[in-house]
This record gives sequence, C-alpha cells and structure tokens, in this order.
Amino acid sequence: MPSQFEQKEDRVAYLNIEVPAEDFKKSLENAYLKNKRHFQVPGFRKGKAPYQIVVNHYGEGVLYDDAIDDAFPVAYESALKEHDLRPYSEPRINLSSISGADGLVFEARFALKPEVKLGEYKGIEAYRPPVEVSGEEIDAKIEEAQNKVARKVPVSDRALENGDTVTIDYVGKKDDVAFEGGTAEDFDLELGSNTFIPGFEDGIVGKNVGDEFDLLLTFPEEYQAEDLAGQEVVFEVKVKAATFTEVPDVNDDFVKDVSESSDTVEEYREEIRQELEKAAAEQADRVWERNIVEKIAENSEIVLSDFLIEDDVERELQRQSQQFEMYGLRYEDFLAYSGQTLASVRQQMAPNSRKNLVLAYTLDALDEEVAPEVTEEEVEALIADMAEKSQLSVEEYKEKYLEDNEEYKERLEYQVRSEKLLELLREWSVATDVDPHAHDHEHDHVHDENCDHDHEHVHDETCDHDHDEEDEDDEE
Amino acid sequence: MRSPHDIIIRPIITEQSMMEAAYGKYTFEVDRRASKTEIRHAVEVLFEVKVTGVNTINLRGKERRIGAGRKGMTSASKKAIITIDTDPVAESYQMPGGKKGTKSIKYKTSIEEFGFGQ
Repeated sequence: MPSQFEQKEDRVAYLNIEVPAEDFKKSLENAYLKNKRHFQVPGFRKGKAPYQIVVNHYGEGVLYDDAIDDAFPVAYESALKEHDLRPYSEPRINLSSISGADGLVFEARFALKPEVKLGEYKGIEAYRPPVEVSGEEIDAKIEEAQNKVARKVPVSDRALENGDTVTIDYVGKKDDVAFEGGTAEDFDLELGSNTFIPGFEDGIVGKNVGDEFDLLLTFPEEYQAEDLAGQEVVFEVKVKAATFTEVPDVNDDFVKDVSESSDTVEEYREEIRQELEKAAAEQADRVWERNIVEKIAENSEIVLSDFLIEDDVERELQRQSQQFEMYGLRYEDFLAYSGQTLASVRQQMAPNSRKNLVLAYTLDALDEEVAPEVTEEEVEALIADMAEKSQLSVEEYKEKYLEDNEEYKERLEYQVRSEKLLELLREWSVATDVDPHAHDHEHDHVHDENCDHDHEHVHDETCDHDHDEEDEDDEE
Repeated sequence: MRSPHDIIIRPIITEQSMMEAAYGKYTFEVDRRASKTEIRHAVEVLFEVKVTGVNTINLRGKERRIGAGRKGMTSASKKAIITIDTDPVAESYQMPGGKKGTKSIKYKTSIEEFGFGQ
C-alpha cells in the first residue's frame, strides 16, 4: 500500500496512506456484511437487500465508518512497517478522500519517540527527606498490636463504666403508654458513645448487671420525631449483660505474645523502630530517586510531541471517570457540580502530565545510556522472592507463571533492570537535606497570608515562614 | 406507436425479482395499454437483449378510504416479466452468393442497469 512519510514538526510523524480502490471495496463489503441486518429497503425483507441495492438506497456513506475501521488497521500497520516507524501515541487521523470508486486516502499523525539529549547524570545533588521515627509512631504501632490482641471480658463484680458495652431491654413510655421506636430487647449499647438521647447512657453508668430501673428523661428540644421533642418520658431499663474490652498491658509477657524475635519491651520498641525506619528509608529513597531524575531532566534537553501529553491526560481522565462509575456517579455530573468542564480539567492536568512524561522518558534514556546488565541469577533471585511472597516453591511459581509466558519473564527482567538503574543513580548522587519544594511553598505562603488572613494581625506577624509542609497545607 | 421509454415505466426491484434476474427473468412495470409484442420490442431496443418470452399480469388498483367513508382507488398497473436469452447466438443469414453474414446487433447477456438508478 503506497504511503509517504514526513516529519514536519519535532517528533511528529505524518503518514499519508492510500488504500487502493479494490482493497477499500472489500472493506466496504465487509462493512455491509456486518451491518446488513439493519438495512431496510422496500421490496426486501429487513436485512435481505443486496449490497448494491443498499448502496443505491442509502448511499455509500453509511458504510464508511465501519469500512474505515476495517481498512485502517491493516493499512496503518503495513505503512508503519514500510517506513520502519514506531508510534508512541495513538494516531490522529485526517481523511483526505474517500469513495468506493477511488479508495481511501488519509493522513495519520502520531508522536515518535521523544528525543532526549541527556545532560550530566552523575554527581547530582538532590533532596532526600530525612529518615526519622518519632516515639509517637512507635507508640501508635504498639497500641495497634495491643488492640489486635484485646479481648472482650464480661463485667461481673463492679459497677458499669463508660466504655462498657451493655446488653439491655428497654421500654420507653410517655404518660404510661409505650411510644413508637422506644422499645427494644437485647440491644447492644456502648456506654459513652452518645448513641441515645442525653442522660440515657449516663443513667446506666454506675448500675450493676442484672439491675432493673426507671430512667426519667426529657427528649431534647431538637428531635427528629416532633411529638417527642421536649417531652418527658420514662424508660424502663433492664441490664442483662455487660462486657468491656480488656487491653493487655505492655510488659514482657505481652511482647513475647506478639513478637517472634523480641523478649522484652525494650527489644520490642527497637524492633518496631527498625521496621519503621526501614519503611521510611525506602520511602525516602523513592522521593530521592524522583528528585534525582527531576534534576537530570532539568539538565537534559527533551523534545516530545504534545500528542503524548494529550494521550496521557486522556488515560488519566478515563481512570478517574471509571472510579466515579464505581461509586455509581457520572464523571460529567461531578464536573458540572464542581464547576469544571472537561476542557478545563484537561488543561489543568497537562503540565503535570508533561512533567511525569519528561521524567519517564529521561529514565528511559538513562536506561539506554547506562544499560545496566541483568544477569540470570538476579532474575532468579527476584523470582524466588516473588515465590516466597505468594507462598509457593520456586518450581511451582515458575510452572504457574513463567511457563510459556515470555512476556512475564521480560517484565521481571525489566523490573530488575530498572531497580539496578535506580540503585546506580543513587550511588552516583549526593543526598542533601535542603528541600527545594519547601522553599517554593514558603514563598507562596507569604502571599497567601497577606491575602487571606489580614484580619489576624497578631498571627500574621508572629507567623514565621518556616513551617514544614504539612502545617501549611492545613492552613490553606 | 408509443416509444419504448413510454412503455417501460420502471423496474420492479424486490427480493423475488432480484432472484429471478439471476436466471434472465426481469420484471418491469409497463404501460397498461402495451401489448406483449410492444413490450418485447421496447425491451430489445432499450437494453439490447434478445427477448425469448414475455409474461404480463394486470394489477387492479386497491380500494383506499379517504377520510370518513369516502372511497378511492389506487391506480391500476401492469407488470411484465421478460425472459431474455442469456446465451444469445449471433443471428446469421444467407447472403447472395452463398456467403453467410451475421447481423451487426450484438445482444447482451443481461440487463446490467436492472436495480441501478431509475
């Protein structure tokens, strides 16, 4: 199939593709076969009119859409092969001419691989967030472990307290007549949870299991049932049972219970500290890596087509709208509600998407430039790791996932490769603890303060601009 | 005599007529006053085919009501099913002096226009 290739703008390919009449005719006929059951022509039962009659009756145009769908992929693929091109974006198509007699001529535009001229990539100084584990974080972890092993214990030999869960029968009466919604049996109520009207739960506190008593209460003035609001009522309450949650004390016995390696509280705290530090360090590494690549991208020259950004934004939009659909909402409705339009969202997303793409392609270029070697053993190690995670033996895992699955194997290799690349980048770079982004924020903040908070002069003046990031976000 | 164009009004294109066309039988709506001979002649002239048979049928108009109880009729028409020679042999005749000559008319093997246009 004849086609011409041109690169008019940076990194955008223009392919002029011609589908000869005879091939396009076949596509038209395929389109007819696909749709023929919809065509209704007088003198014929529905779907029985032959091709030529349909074309005369409806015009060739009705078949074009499907005929293009039929003809396009073949023509496009073969043109790509002819010019040995690899598209990096979806093709944009312009029809130049279309008819059954002359065939189809169209122009496909698509992004080519972005051109990256790598700048210096060794000895980069980039921000790495400090790894700090505070005492509170450790305490929180320990509390989590405590709650995990906490047990429900029945209350027996003491009065009821807030926090206990009681099982009660109650009958609510107004003027000696039980009212609607005021009666229940075997109701589980947590004292102090403010589930019931004020005074009800307080009235139970201090009583014992097995007690039967009356509570004289007044409904609040603001109550959803109008005939009860502000009324005096009597609840006849019977406490049948009560439980409380027993949280174990943090001592050596508890530690032996929850931890496999530690025996004392001290050791346990250290164990948790190490765990948290490891996680924090990994997270810091991720941020660091991103900052390194950002810096390298700044040093490099990258030319990429807008098509790539458009495609990326489109994918992101689709992801978002799918998420909305999961909650049974329509994305369009949400946009309308929040005063946005698809166009404005696209515009908003473009810069961010551009940044991400630049980073991704910089990393790609680095990968090509550095070309970290991947050995068979390293892949094996990763497989062993994955096998362990899915609780299979290495052989089982291989049989299940890698047999006849070259693609998956390649993906694993790629994973090893990119991890190695990042490791190398970390080796070559210097970590600094000056956060460049925090600085940017400070600047914004000064401005914000003057605009929004000018009624709070005291605050304004004492407010030095060295908050860390979270504080600022809270305020804004 | 009416001209061939006046006799043949339109082809009748339906599933049935399309199927018969494959065997050389073409259906037309014709002038109600035309005879089989006239129809034969008209088809031969218009489509340059050799007609081997003409069957005709008169279609009566149908009763239609217009408004409350007023009667009317749709117009009556005539249909002709023409069979053509799908394998025509050039006609030969004896020329003076014992030579054989052939008529200059070349018959077509089908009515290509059938089902197109009109």
